[in-house]
Amino acid sequence: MTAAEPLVKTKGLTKYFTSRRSLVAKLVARQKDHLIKAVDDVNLDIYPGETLGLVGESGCGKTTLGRTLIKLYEPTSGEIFYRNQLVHELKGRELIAFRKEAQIIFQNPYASLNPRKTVRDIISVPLRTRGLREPRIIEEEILNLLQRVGLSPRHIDNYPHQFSGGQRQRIGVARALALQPNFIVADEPVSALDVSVQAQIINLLEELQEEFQLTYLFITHDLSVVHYISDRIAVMYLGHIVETAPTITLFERPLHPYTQALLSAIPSVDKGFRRKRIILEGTVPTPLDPPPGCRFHTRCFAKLGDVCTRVTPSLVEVEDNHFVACHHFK
Amino acid sequence: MLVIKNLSTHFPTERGLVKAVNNVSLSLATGEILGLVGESGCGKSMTLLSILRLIPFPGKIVGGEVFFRGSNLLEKKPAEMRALRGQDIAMVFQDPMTTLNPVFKVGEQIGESLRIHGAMGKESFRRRYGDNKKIAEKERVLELMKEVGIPSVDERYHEYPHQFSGGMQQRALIAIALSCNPQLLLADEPTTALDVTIQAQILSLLEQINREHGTGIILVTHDLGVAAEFCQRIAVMYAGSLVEVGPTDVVIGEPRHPYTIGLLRSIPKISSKKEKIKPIYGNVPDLAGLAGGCPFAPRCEVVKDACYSEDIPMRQISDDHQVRCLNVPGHSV
Repeated sequence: MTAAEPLVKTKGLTKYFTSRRSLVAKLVARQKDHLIKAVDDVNLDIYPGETLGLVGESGCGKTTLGRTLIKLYEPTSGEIFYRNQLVHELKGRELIAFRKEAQIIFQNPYASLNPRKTVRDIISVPLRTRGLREPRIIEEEILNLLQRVGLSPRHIDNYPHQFSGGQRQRIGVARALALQPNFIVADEPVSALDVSVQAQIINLLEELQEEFQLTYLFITHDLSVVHYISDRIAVMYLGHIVETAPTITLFERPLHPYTQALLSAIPSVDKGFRRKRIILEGTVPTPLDPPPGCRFHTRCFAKLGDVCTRVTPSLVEVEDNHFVACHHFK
Repeated sequence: MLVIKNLSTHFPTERGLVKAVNNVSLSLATGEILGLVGESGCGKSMTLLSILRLIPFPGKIVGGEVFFRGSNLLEKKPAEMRALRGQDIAMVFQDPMTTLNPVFKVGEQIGESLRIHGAMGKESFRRRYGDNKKIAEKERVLELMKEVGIPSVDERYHEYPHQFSGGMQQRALIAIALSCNPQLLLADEPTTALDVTIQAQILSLLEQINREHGTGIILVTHDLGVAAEFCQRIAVMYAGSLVEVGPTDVVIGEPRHPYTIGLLRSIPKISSKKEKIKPIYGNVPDLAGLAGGCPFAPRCEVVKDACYSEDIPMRQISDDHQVRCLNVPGHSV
């Protein structure tokens, strides 16, 4: 896989949000605007045809990273390359072409579909963007897409509220597919669904990947799902990528203490997988004012000492394709 | 300690009668942890609320018995129930953000249950914490906060819920539940709103409470993994009915009901890469206007004609394993 050129590549990608203080707070208490360091210095490669799983706890910046990659947010600094083109320099026709290629499936199927539009309206917009004009052809294509994602043609004039959560997520998938994309950011696509329905959507995404040679960035906090669907996994903690490795390697030999704790904390029905639980102290610090040095040092059980609190470790390749950002590995 | 017999709770709605809890029979031994598992809307939470008789309007308990230490809770007077709630049976709710009152200090909220149940007037309490009720209450609250693992309790006592993280709020709720040393703790998805690493903290806290105080726990969860690791017995619920009850190893290792089997097949396994997951066909049914027969029949792989017409009884298939399915032989309970 390393031989291929990455489809998406980031260099030092950083996204900060500003949380503004009120004028009173600024003048009276001399408080400054806060910076929320959602994504900080991320270097990531995503190869064509692979599924990269992005895992981490809530607030660690996974969604922000996904959205920045497809230019829903402007990065604060750093670069994103898509097919070796700098994404933030794309303009006009090139930008539209990029938008067609890079699509997103949102987490919450209840909030990501306009409640006042029918399925026909929702899916015909991207089809028109693709250049289809003839109403007959558009309808035909909508029916094709519905059938492909497992919805019946009679659903075409229904509104989102008439569907269950799983069906709504299928509409979201159809909408993304309508543009014939190459790269899809799937942002927690199954978290809002019941277990028995989750599996339907996961299998659908896998089939579509095979059929259309899609590349996925699969964002989730569910480690059993990410294990199932991903070829490679990146673990994120407070805006930093702390470890990336092929799925099997990561589950067999997690190296970063955070990854070890995360994996050990998954409750599983699977006796073969159960391991001694590492219980982390404390909670995830806020990204408003992340700890200096290694961001994980406040909860780490394998802290080396001063170096962890002062120096931010960078990703090093420990074995083939297995990268860790931890002072234990040099 | 707790024996539920044929409990039914119904909600009349515009779309028809919703049998949220349909003929549920369950029991819990002293000091046992039981997992009540099912998907959203299957009636797990309503079962817990029925035990405490806290069913929201227009719901009503229409039949059955709930014996707690020998007496039927459904026959108790409202005042007797109030005395019991929080004292003998306590509940931990799913969403700590909305359960705590945002305008009161956390310490005061933990002490409220002690005040309501007059704990400070009790002899044993006075001997331990002294006669001054205010000081005694605060002592006990600080002790509880320490027990559930809230750090720097002296400051935390005076903080408001929004100053607590999700995990800390859940700990505060557990402290409230524990304040009167209940014998039974009803936990409704206590870790669903939390991250995995925090979930592990809260589950091990509940385990510790169970071990040290012998508190019986009913844990409602949609996560089979949580139930498998944490509970001694598991009850699986589908569309208002229990479909399978048994020891954890049996329900997870040798499930017999097609729904339990389907549920387990639809979860990706970590130890065996690429064992294909198999979803259950269709969707969770709408409980309004559910026809007779097995509620799982429309999604079942081994469905027979009889499944749609007959009411299926719970059957005993071994000493401690019960299954509600026509395809599984056994004698009626």
